[in-house]
Amino acid sequence: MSRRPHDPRRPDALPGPEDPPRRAFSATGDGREPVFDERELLARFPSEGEWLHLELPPDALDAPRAADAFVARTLDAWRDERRLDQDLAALDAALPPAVLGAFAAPPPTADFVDRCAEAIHDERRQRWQQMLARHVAPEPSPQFVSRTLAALTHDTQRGTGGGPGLTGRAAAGGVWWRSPRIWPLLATAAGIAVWFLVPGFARSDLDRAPLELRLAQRAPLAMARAHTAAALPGVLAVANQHAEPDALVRDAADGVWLLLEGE
Amino acid sequence: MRRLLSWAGVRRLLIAALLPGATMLGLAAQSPAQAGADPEAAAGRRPAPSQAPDLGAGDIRAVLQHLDDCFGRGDTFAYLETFVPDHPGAHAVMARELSRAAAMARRECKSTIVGEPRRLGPRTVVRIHQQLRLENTLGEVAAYDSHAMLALRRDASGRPVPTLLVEFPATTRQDLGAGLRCPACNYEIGGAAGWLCVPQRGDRASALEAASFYLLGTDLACDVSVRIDADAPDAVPLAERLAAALAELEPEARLGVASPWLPPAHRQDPPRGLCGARLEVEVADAAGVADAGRAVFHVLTFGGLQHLLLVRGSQRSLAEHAADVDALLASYRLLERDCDLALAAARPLHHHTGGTLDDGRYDNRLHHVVMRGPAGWKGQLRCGGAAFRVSWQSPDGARLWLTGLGVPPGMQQWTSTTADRYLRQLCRQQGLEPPPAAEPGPGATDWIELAGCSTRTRTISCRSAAAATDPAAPALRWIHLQVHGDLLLIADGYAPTTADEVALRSAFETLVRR
Repeated sequence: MSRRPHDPRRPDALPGPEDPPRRAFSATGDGREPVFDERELLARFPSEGEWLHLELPPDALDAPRAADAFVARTLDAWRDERRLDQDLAALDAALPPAVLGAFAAPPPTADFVDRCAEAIHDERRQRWQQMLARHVAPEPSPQFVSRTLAALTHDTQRGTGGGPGLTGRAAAGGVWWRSPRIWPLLATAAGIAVWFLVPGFARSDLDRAPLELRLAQRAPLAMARAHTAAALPGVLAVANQHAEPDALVRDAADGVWLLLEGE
Repeated sequence: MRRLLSWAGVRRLLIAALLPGATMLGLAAQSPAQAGADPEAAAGRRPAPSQAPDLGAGDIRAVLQHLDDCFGRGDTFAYLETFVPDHPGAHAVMARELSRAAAMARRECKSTIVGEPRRLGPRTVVRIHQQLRLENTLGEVAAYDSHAMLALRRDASGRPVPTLLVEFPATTRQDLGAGLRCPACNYEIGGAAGWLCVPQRGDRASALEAASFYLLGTDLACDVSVRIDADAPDAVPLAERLAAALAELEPEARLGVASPWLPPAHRQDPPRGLCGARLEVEVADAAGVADAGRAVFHVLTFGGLQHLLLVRGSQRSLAEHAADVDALLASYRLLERDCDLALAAARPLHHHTGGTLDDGRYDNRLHHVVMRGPAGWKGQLRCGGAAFRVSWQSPDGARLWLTGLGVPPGMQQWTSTTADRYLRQLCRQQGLEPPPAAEPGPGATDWIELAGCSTRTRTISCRSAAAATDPAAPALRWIHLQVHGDLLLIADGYAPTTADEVALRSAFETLVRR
């Protein structure tokens, strides 16, 4: 059943049968809880025609509109992209063709196709051989055969008591660790094990240093990379050394060392 | 009472109760002063982000004044005790540099703040400028400027304490906390929360361009380097090569297996020509515990262009902050996806070094240097820690290198004295006999001053110590030096045949600075 909205122009009009039920409203001050007056609320609610002309509440005027923020972000991203394109175009314009030519792929040689086809065939053949080799037992080598026969012979002789066996105290049933010669060896082995296995036991200061310091200490003090907290320069220096082992100048110098500490 | 029973109060009571036990077990390796001043740091846990206001410039100036006083007195212990370091590696390297300065006869440092301090993650970060003056026992003085990033926080008592101090190049206009973008090198990375980007000094980088990212409040860092390799190796063998290089420096390191890897930004639709690999290496950590530290290589190749990312730290930190590391790796992207591979390699070399090689002739527009290689020798542009490098190779195996070196920080200009010292060090490293003392007269090896300018040149030959036992090793090394105030040029090489040696020495004559 639709309800006729309360007409504020007729505040004293008696509610009709289709009007919403009117409930009492009282302020909080008299101790009773405030209750809603639906008719009053409906009276204050803007009509359909009034929506478009409503003013923003005062606190909303200060808050940035979500749409404006989106537009600003989009425009900033577009400008950033354009600036990047301009920077790249400027770099490319300044690039001499000779530099580009140094890194361009050379033209294919006359036998390029043949070499590629041969390489593909070789790879295929090796791959098939590897796959098939799983199902083919290898021929035993002569050394393997002779070792196996010698071991079998030895076992057979031991079983019959005809071959060389244990001698000395062990053969007589004595225990090897009762030998007086074993104890110094065991003590030495225990000491070596403690030296290597116990963390922090007798380790040098270098081992306790962080990775960055350990890497920096590998470089001569005269070189600038000996004074950086980054780890990659030391690694790259070793890689560069392998690439050009005969190069004389690989690292830049440290100015303080050259001025004050170099001999 | 309410404050005592709050969560923070209960936490402090627990820490104070557990600290003696943790210290006894070696879990909390802090000095008593630090333990008393900052129980949370002494407990070995990452301190919670300070709820106190950001540190102001006044607080930071007081800290800098204290550090400068300690530096001037040569009191390394007091200087280091001021820090509650986040990153043990950076702190240890700084300690080594301080010891070096303390060994000087006199030292002085004046630090000033550049720009405004900013909050970055759990730390306040500020750029500082340091005017340093060192004097040795002979009265020689090195006076120079240094720029650094300083990270601080408040301890439990509200006192500002520095946690990280890392130097960066003076020419950097880096925004604190911002990422690194290089259109010439075709990449950008950074801007992830909590990561501080510190560009590396070019002379220390051993690469075309380099930077380090520090996750503030932790011992994690990520080194980023850019290299060019004309051989254009694939990412997996390159990662294995780098890991093997690390293993040479760290014999106890355990290498993992290289696996293909791509950054998250390019996983869905990889750019054509981009290859990536990842390889983990377990190393000993700062306490010497084997396999407790980790270095993870992330290698990206785009033709001859190489982007290398090395994430390093303790295994525990890597596990705790895996999301932060992933965020940093996710911030990496190529700027131009469909760039020609030859262009991708040529552009950064030309932009950063300024040189071109055309039919054997090297021309550097940035430093105004020209040199013509011997006829028939193949030339190649190189990169490294120098301002520029180029090499030539003859069909018979003769080699010629040209290297240009800018003035190192700490010096005002190159002189013949410092050039000789550098050359002696290089010869010692390469196993060459020391260069002959500078002498005038016939067969002069003395420095010659060129007419009309202040340039000094010297050409010498050094014998290789290896040639005595190895017939294949080159016997004689020819070295030509040119000292310009702002640039040192070193042209050096060897030749197995007389004809190549003549060509080599003739090439020295073509080296000119316009």
